[in-house]
This record gives sequence, structure tokens and C-alpha cells, in this order.
Amino acid sequence: MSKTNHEWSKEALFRKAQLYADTMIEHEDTAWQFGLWSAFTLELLIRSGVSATSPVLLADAKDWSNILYGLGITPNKPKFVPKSASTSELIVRLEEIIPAFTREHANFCASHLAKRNSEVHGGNLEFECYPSSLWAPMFFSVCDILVVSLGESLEHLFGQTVADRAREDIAAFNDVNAKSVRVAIEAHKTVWREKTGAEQELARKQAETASLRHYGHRIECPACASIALLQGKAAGEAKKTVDSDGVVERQVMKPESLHCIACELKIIGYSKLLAAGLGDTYISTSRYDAMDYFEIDLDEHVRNMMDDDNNE
Amino acid sequence: MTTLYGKDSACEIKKIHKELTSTGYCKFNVSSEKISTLEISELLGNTAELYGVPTVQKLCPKNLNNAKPNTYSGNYGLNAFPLHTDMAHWSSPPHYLLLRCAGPATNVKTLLLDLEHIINTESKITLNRALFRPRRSLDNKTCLLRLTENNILRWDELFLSPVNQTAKDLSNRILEKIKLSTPITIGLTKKTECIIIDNWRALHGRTPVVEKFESRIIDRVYLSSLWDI
Repeated sequence: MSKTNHEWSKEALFRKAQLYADTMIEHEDTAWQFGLWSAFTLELLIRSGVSATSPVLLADAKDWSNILYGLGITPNKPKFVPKSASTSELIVRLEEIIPAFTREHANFCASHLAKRNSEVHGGNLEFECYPSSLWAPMFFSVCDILVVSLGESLEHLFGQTVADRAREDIAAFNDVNAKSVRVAIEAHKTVWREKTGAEQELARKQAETASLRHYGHRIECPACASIALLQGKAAGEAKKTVDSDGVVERQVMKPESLHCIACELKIIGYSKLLAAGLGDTYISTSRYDAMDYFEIDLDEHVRNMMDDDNNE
Repeated sequence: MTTLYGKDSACEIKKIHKELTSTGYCKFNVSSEKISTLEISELLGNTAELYGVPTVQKLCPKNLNNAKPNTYSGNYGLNAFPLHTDMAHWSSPPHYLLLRCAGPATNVKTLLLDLEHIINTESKITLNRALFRPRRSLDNKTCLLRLTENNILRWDELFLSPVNQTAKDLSNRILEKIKLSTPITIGLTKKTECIIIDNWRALHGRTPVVEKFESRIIDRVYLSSLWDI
């Protein structure tokens, strides 16, 4: 029977991680807030993972009063403020505690949290220039290892939709065969270089004309640098806003295929796109006329304003 | 109904434990009014000492104006008390509570409802993702709580506040299900009558107090565990 959990208990830390994860996923993954809140979430997961063995392991060992505090005993020291170990120290401790948490995971955590430090301590928008495709698959892999060690799951941390997306990211990240796409890109580069300047110019113009925004997301082809079309599937729910021009629907899209008309490069599958450095999600924006969107029938409104029908 | 006769009631205590395990509560008698509430509690299990709370608490109906705002009476007065877990806002609430009639009131009843039946349609993901907090901090700390954890089921519409959207939605569904439920109604009409409630499972409440029954007095004792008999 107790009033409150120890603030260093794995339960208290995991629930706070859940709260931070909620804030993270409220943002589109192209937004800097998505990255920043992912780092806050990760830090709490690391702390919870260490605390699962014992909250004492969170203590800053330089002052034994912190160890006492970790044991649930408030030291008599006047003006005592409990201090926990630095996250970099805790990452080292985690490597010892959780066998599945490897040096590669530890390095990722250290680097992701360094980005967080730069974001909160400096004027640079660190996560603005750090596309989620570069870190999200590894981030989700680490989260998966940590939540399992806590007897929890990705679903408990992020909810079903984001957990499904996380598992796809992890699978894509671990797909060794996907890395063969780099060979295909190099082959297309070689063929492209063998074309004359005029042929390249003509192919580039054709690609630009054919690759309309209407059909997909326009990006630079990794082989020939012409305009290529990225197509994807909706990830999560679309966000709707209403302004004076009508309804704007913003949908986060996860890339599924790339087609370049100029050099005829085709990449199919998220794991291959991720390996090619094209795994970033993009936003598909659609505009609708408010009358059409809400299916408002003006004629019916006018009819309803008239007196009752009468066969007079 | 089982009757406890004092220290030589091992068989009766076993019966009470059995009923408590099966339904989440048990109404029973003691053989004499002279047996104190504390003695009854100690016959059944480990009496819990809560810091700042008397071991045996005398619960009397109070008007809204005469009660502190941190109490149920200070919020509901003589109206019905909604179904709740005692100390639901604590990270670990007391496991059992013993209620003993100390001042009979025939028209005021104790209400009981198995929380398991209310939340059993919710998924594990929902229950684990719904975060609640005490409406006020405790010892200057605010910890996040789940409604189900470590074999504890908890609910309190007043002292728990939903924190995230999952919790807000869950909270609305629970309130709706409670509204549609039919709680068990139990009266404590003699000074020998008691109920023990599994506070980690069964919600309890009170029907409204009509003026002539303002003399209703209930002794309440918390227990941390039952004797292993």
C-alpha cells in the first residue's frame, strides 16, 4: 500500500514515456516536434529499462545519498535534491543489463540524445534537418527491445496504428536483400552517363512533363537527377483544416515505389526505398470545395425554406 | 449469512474468505455488539495503518456545507456516493475494507459492483495506454496511473482525472456502463452486521441519505491482506 510510485520506478518512467510518445505521434513525422519528442520518449525508456533491474541503478553514484534515495529512503541531508546518473552513463549500464541491447543500439541512443541536446540547448532546429527515415527505423528497433524488456509492447507505447508502422520500419531496416537496390541505382547511373547530352536533355524534359504532382510526389532521381515520381500509401489518419478557400486535407504518405521516366529506374518496396535513402514520408495535400466535401445540397436548403408543398 | 464468534471461528473466516474471493465482497455477522471493529478486522487479516488516517474511521453522513472539499461528503453531501475504489488515486490502494454498522439506518444502503464486469470488454492495449492522474498531487508528487495493474482494478470518477485521449474515451465508456448497471444493494441494519470488500476489484457506493437517517454511522477499517487459513 503506497500513495505514490517512486519517481525512479520503471512503472512511473514507462507511463511518462507513454505520455511523451502520445505527444510525439500527434505530429506529422516530417515535423521537428516528432523528432524532439521521440528523443524525450527514448530517454525515459532508457531510464525505465535500467530501473527494471533496480531504481538504485539510476542513482548518480558520486553522492551515496542518491543511492539511498534510489532505495526508497529519503536522506536526512539538508536541501537534498536527488540526482540521477547522466543518460550516457545509463546507456552503458543498459548494455550490461539487456543482452539484446547491443553496441549499435547504444551508439544510436547516444547520437539521438545528442541531437536532443543540440535542439534544446542551441538555436539550431536540429530535428528539422534530420529526416525521420534516417532515424525512425533504428529508433523503433530500440524501443521494441526496451519495451519487451519491460514486459510491455510497442502497442502499449504508441497504440496499434503506429506500432504497425514501427514493425514495418523495423522489418525494412533489417531487410538485407533491400540493400541490393544500391547496385541497381549504380547500373542506371552508368547507362545514363553513356547517353549523349541531347538524349539526356530530351529524357529529362519528358520526365518533367509526365511526372505530374497529381500522380505522386516529385523527387530527384537517385540515378540521373531528373524529376522522378514517388508513390506511397496513407500512413495514419488525414488531418483536415477548413479555411476560407475550402477544406484542406493533409495526409502523411509512406513511400512504396519510385519511377523515373528519364533513366527508367524503378524501385518497388519500402525496404528498398529506405536502403536507397528515399524512405522519408511525404505529405499529400488535397483541397476540396466545402460544399462538395460536406455534401451540402443548396437546392434542398432552399426547398426547405419554402412553405409546405400544396397542390393548390 | 456467516457469523463470527471470536477467535475460534477459523471455519467461518474461511467461508468469508471464500465468498470474498468469488464475488469481491462478503456480508457477515458477529455474535455480539461488544466485539470491537478492530477485533473483527484482526480476525480476518492484517489491519492496515494509513498515515494520517485513524485505524478505525467513523463515517457519518454530512451536509455539503459541513464537510471538507477533499472528501466525498464535501462533494456529494447527503446525495448518493458514486461507485468507486477507496484511495483509487494512490499508486497502491488498500486491498480490503471492512465496513461495520455502528449506527443503523435501514433506508441507506451500500452499493457494490464488480469492476471486472465493467472493463472486461476493453482491450489490454486500451487499458495499458489509458493514463490517469490523481486530481490533486500527493506529497507534492503526481504519478500517472493505469486503471488495471498488478492485479489492482481501480475507478473513481472524482479523484482520478484522465490524462490522455485514450483515458478520456475509456472514462466516458466506464461512466456509461456504470450508469446502465444494476449494483448489488446491501443494508447494514444491526450493530452486528459487517461487509468486507475487495477494494482491488469491487466498487462501492452509497444510496442517498434521507434526513431522518443522518444518524447512520459506519466503522471503516482497511486491511492490507487476509490471513492465510
